[in-house]
Amino acid sequence: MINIFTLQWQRLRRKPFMVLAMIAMTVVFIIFIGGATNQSEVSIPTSFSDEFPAEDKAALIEELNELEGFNFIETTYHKARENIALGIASFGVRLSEEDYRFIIGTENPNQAIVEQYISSIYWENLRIDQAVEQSGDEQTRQSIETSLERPLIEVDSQIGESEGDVFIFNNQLQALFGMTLFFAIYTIVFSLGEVAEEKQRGSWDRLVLSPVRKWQVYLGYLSYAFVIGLVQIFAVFAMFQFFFGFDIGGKWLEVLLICVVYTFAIVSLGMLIIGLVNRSSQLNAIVPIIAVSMAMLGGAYWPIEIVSNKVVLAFSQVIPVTHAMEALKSITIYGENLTDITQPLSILLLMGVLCMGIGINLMERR
Amino acid sequence: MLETEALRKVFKKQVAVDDVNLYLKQGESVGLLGPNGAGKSTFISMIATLTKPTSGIVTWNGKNVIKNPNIIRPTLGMVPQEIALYKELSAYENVKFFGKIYRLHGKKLEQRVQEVIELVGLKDRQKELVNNYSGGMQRRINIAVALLHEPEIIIMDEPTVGIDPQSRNYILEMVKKLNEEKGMTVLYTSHYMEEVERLCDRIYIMDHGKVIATGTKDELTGILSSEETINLELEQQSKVFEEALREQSTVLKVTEWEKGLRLIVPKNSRELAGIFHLAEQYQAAITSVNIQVPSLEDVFLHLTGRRLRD
Repeated sequence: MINIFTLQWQRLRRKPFMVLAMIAMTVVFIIFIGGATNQSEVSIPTSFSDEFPAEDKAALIEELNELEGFNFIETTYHKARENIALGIASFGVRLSEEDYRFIIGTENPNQAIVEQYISSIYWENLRIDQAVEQSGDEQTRQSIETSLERPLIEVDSQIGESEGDVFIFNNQLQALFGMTLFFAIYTIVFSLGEVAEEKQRGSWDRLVLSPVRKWQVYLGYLSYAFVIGLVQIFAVFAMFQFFFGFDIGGKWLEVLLICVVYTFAIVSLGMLIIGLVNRSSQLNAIVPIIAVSMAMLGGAYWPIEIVSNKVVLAFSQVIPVTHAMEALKSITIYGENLTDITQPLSILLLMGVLCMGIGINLMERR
Repeated sequence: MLETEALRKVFKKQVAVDDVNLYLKQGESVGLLGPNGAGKSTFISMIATLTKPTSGIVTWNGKNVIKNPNIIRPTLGMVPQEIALYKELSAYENVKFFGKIYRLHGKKLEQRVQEVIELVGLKDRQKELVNNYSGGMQRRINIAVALLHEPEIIIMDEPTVGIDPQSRNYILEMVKKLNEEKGMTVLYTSHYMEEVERLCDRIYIMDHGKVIATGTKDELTGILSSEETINLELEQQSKVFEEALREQSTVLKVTEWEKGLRLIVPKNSRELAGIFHLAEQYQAAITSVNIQVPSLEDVFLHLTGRRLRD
């Protein structure tokens, strides 16, 4: 087994192009989608209606910019529309004295967060206005605002898991996890594709006739695909944490465990795919279709939380990417612990065992 | 030593090998001759325990290898039709890897690697990548790998397909040497009758999954001992002349070849006069006549009505 495992590394040394290309593609896509710099703030072009009092504009903008991760930039309505049309921003806001409107170019999960925040500001101002109106004393406004700044009771609100429609969106980590898991599928399955090629070329028969047992031959290939996949995933994570300033957090052991379980599931899925195809050319055709579909349905390209279609959500449950993304986000974004990700990890393990069993069975039946 | 009894393989409804009986004695060199698609590769794959037969038995020294493949595997060297090597590695690395797979190590491994590379005549170029080798050199390394563990029997599946005449000659000489000098039992499949004629003590002719004839070369050509082949070279093919020849009771078979017609007639039938008479009658210009001693090719043609490489 060890000879077959080391042989694969020897061959990789001579032909490293595929693995290097996959790592390079991962890096490029993460930089494009997630942005490799620390500028994680989302810019929102903000315009005001004509009747909005000029003296209140700066104060409102300041208040809006208290929302972490967003930068409300004052501009004209015309300019805001232009920026959205050109794709510079995906949405903007037009603020009036008593209401606000969104200018939407493309659907963006951040919009829900911004809307919730603006809505809370408007409600607050509306209530203060009503209170002032009823008391008939302008001093009331002053005293309410002071009280709000120094409240008697501090309320710390947290978003619970059950509120599935509210989620924290971190563009950098979404891109990092999504793209890394997506491109790792190619590396792993194509590494396993060597088994299909060996069978075509006849060297598999040589191995079968040798004193090496068949399970050792399989294990040699599987362990290579597993290690190369895991190294790729972890190398990209480390690269973006230490060189591009992404914040994965300090829970490296948990992240490693998720990567291990995900890689195992993909290796097994790879065996299933190889068990279904007859030739390596078929594998080359089918892998991109499967990988892209899994990435789309599993929330690697965009957060699965923004998907509301029940059929798509049901499909996503049988895709390893979904569970790996969920586990990674739980650990890094929501600050959860190992015990909280037992379910996605167990599902990934189950998928792995099933696919491996069926895959090897299919290969042996040929 | 090696024997098959009524060995049969059916893929879905296609019978690839149809109740084939074959035996090989120790130190013997046996050829399996047949056109592409005759079932040779499937047959040897079953002998090598790589494919499970639908029915029938394969025995090695009297023991059933279908039930227990490990009876034959350690003593078997298999040369597949494909180049079963890692082309991005050097010849040395390839041979060494398979040596390790056969549990050779240390000095013994190095010694065997060098021995087999020398045997196939590639000692000076062993560090080059297999990818940079010519087809013939790749085939030689393909054979070298099968010899690493000093097998008692070597099964070669068309080991000279698509290579230059020099490499082919080298391989044939090497196989002959292994059989004659080292006493290795050889089962050699090919669709080149001259290779089988040159190398093998006994020959099995296969077609459509069946063994249609077996024996030594002399025994097989003896099938045609009562016949002879006349090759007529014509200025141009003539259908009417061909039909007229077919109607002659003394002409047993007429087939076309690129320059004219090939006739099988009873030996010493003195048919030539009649042929020339017909040619004159149907205005077919004969430019050359050649009377041929029967070959395995003629035997195959006689038995199947087709040529080996059709």
